[in-house]
Amino acid sequence: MSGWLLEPLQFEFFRRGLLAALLVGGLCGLIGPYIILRRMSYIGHGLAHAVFGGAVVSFALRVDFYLGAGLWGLLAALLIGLVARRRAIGADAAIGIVTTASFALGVAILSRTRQFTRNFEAALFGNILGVTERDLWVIGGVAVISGLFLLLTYKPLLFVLFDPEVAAASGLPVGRLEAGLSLVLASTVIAALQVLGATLIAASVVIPAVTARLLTHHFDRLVLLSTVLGALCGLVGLYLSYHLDVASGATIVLVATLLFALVFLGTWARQRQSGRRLTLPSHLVE
Amino acid sequence: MTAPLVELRSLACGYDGRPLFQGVDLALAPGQFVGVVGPSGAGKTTLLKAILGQAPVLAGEVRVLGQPVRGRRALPIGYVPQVETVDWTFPVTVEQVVLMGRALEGGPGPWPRREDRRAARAILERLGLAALADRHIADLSGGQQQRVFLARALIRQPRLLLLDEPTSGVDIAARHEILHLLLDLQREGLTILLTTHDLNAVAAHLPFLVCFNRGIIAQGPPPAVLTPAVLRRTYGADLLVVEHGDRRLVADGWPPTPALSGERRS
Repeated sequence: MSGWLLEPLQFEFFRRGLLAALLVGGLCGLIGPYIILRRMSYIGHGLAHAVFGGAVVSFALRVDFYLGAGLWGLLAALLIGLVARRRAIGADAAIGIVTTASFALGVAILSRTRQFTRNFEAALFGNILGVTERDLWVIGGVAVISGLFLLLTYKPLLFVLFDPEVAAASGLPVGRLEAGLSLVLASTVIAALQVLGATLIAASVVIPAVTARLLTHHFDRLVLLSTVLGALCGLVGLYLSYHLDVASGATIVLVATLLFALVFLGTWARQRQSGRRLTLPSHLVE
Repeated sequence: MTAPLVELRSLACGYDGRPLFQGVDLALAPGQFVGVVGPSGAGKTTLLKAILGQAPVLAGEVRVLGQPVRGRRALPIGYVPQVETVDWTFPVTVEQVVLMGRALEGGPGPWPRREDRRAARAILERLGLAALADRHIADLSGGQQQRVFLARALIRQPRLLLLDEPTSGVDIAARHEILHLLLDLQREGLTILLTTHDLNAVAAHLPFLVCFNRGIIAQGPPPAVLTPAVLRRTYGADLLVVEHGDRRLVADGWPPTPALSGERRS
């Protein structure tokens, strides 16, 4: 067992990857409860695909990835806002159009210039073992800033998530807090792209949070538990990926899914045992 | 007369430029307890939101404590929303909801200040919720849920309390409890404005009523406004008003035959 754990650590690429998996897993787990409760999961999913387009374009134009992806993400967000303003088009449809178009543009450029296929497999599915020291600094920076933001704005943000109208009526800066949360989500997506890949980021944000939600009704414990579960899935997933020789991003997501399934079945069995069903207030049950 | 706590001057509010109500003149004196009655869609909730500075004002103005309500400002107002608008599956406990009332001044970080915790405990105690402080909000009865949101409004130590349909979705005992609680609070000097669709069980017990349907139809004490003429203009339907001692009971006037007198319909 100790060999299983220690053997891969002799490689620098694995040590870097492990740190990246822990940080990205924890970061996705940390923002997860905010994203699911604000019903932003789809935005996260779309943003990851939009940023993929940005990654391809910045590679093709030889622009720095983080700069290119950041600007591209901002452009996508503005476009979504513009399209969603038409009343006949809902925000979710606007996200669908803009982000899928951006993704398709990436694929199209990619099919013309075949020479950097490896990089793009990484951008799609993640390549944790190709993480550079600079990537680690970016991931660490985003994790620290996001953590600080969520820590400092904890009380007002909780109020805004739960009840934005009354929060606004109580004098809280609802618009600024929501913008801050969107910025945290966008930075997380960009930081996680290299590790998890565009297709798998949303799962890493949603699954730990939903799993933790099954285990607690307390918001503070939910955030803590989700962060720990996210980091844990990153850790276990990366070791399994090394030993089984399976893609790292997919392994991390599969570990998280397995954990979710176990918790789901466990809580379901316990509820059946105690004869309790989901408790909803009487006036909501017809 | 003392200066009004809230003053609406020829106020019109609405969405997409279309007024939901207009020409509203209303003044609330400190210590008043006012009920707004009217059919659904009459604009009652929007009226409350206008006082909070959260509804699009098309014309006129809202003044709280003599100052125009504009932009983001912490007003000395506690707001209790309709329970139907609350997400009951949200992962928060009773105490966490009450502490939200102090989110603005509670300082950074997740930890509540000691004085905020003490204030929350005291209010939960007073509203008979102390034993439920650590419960998930979905695990409560309708009356308890209503009191949790009342507690969140009261921890702000407001001058004015706005409640949107505080007695909908609760049973008779809980309704009495809430009304008694509100009357106690008024006696302590709080000004209260609530909306209700329940004319007999709620509105008739309040000292002052505003009949509202896309504007103020009439305002005054219940005997003055609970008349067939005013109710007809408020609800657009004939309602039967029965005087019983010093109380007035309003019944659905359909079918419009006097043959029903003596019969009780519910």
